[in-house]
Amino acid sequence: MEIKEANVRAKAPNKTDKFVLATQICLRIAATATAMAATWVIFTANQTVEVLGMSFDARYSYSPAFKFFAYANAIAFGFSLMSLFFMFFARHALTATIYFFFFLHDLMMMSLVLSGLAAGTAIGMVARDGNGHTGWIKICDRFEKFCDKVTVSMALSYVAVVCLLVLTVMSAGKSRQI
Amino acid sequence: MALQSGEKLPMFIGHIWSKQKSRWTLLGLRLLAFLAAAAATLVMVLNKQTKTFVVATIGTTPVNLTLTAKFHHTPAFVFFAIANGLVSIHNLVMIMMDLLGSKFDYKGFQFPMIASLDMLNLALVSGGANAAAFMAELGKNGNSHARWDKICDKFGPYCDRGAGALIASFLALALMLLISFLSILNHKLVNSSSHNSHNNIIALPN
Repeated sequence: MEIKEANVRAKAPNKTDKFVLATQICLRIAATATAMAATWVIFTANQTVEVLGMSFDARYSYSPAFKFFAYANAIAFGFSLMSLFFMFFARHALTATIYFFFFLHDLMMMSLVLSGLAAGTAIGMVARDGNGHTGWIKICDRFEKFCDKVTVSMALSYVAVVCLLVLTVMSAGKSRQI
Repeated sequence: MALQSGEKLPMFIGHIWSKQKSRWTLLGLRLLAFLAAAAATLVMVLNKQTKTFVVATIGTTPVNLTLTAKFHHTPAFVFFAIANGLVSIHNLVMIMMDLLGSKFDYKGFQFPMIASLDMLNLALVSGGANAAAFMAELGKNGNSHARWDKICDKFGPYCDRGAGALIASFLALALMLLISFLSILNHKLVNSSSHNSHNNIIALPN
């Protein structure tokens, strides 16, 4: 047993370990960047339209679903940035327990961003297509720029979710091996 | 190396967590998640309400308008029903695999498959529940900025049943989160006792 422990401790870092660590850092950068871009676009998406002397405007804060989407992306950006810095500065001393906490973090963030996306997509579809049965008319023919910006923000958020999903599975895998 | 039942583990949790107890706990949680997701699917799919409104009166005969509220009028509710159906099927398959799976030998392939599938289904039920929740909020409160009227004052029982389905789905979501967490924890505990993992550090050259 002692010889086995000594062998495991003295295991030299091979190319696979470095590749996995590099992949994790790249994916974290991607998730952070897309979350930040999505947050920025949704916070600055507003449009004012003049109809018959009255002005109507659209911004993200007029709908609880878009507010939730914006705040979820903002929180995910903050936490992903923190996890990126932590992984970068602690990259020489990553144990299985630390990878387990990374797994928990990635799981929570993925769930949060996906929840925001689902809410935004549901309300976005009502805004874009209307709903004939409930008498809700579409608004995207009036507010084209606003709808386009919201669509761009959601596309970026979908990319962030895919990155976070891959990160979650990778962290779970690394957390049980070492 | 498999853990003997009842053996104490040197982990930060610090209590006795045997393999048998963890297996039955996980199985119980999966059964609860299956029941919650199946209940949510059934209640949403069978949710329907017909109501007759008196729109005008011509002479002495009233003009009636019959409106029906069904779940498939709203794409978010359709997605909700499909997502919860898939999650309940996933949990059922996982339960069957746990009870009958010792006959098949797929040990190396088992962990990535279970972990990935658990997380994908967590993502799915999270998406479905939240989409339906915000559609329900829109139906309940309306949106004055977009001139969308609320409908829950006219179709009260429809909204109540939808709320029940949503609660069941959020319960399934919480249980799936717990199951994902515990499943990884169990794998970690089973594998760590033979490697003493909290002492190992992979050192990279500077």
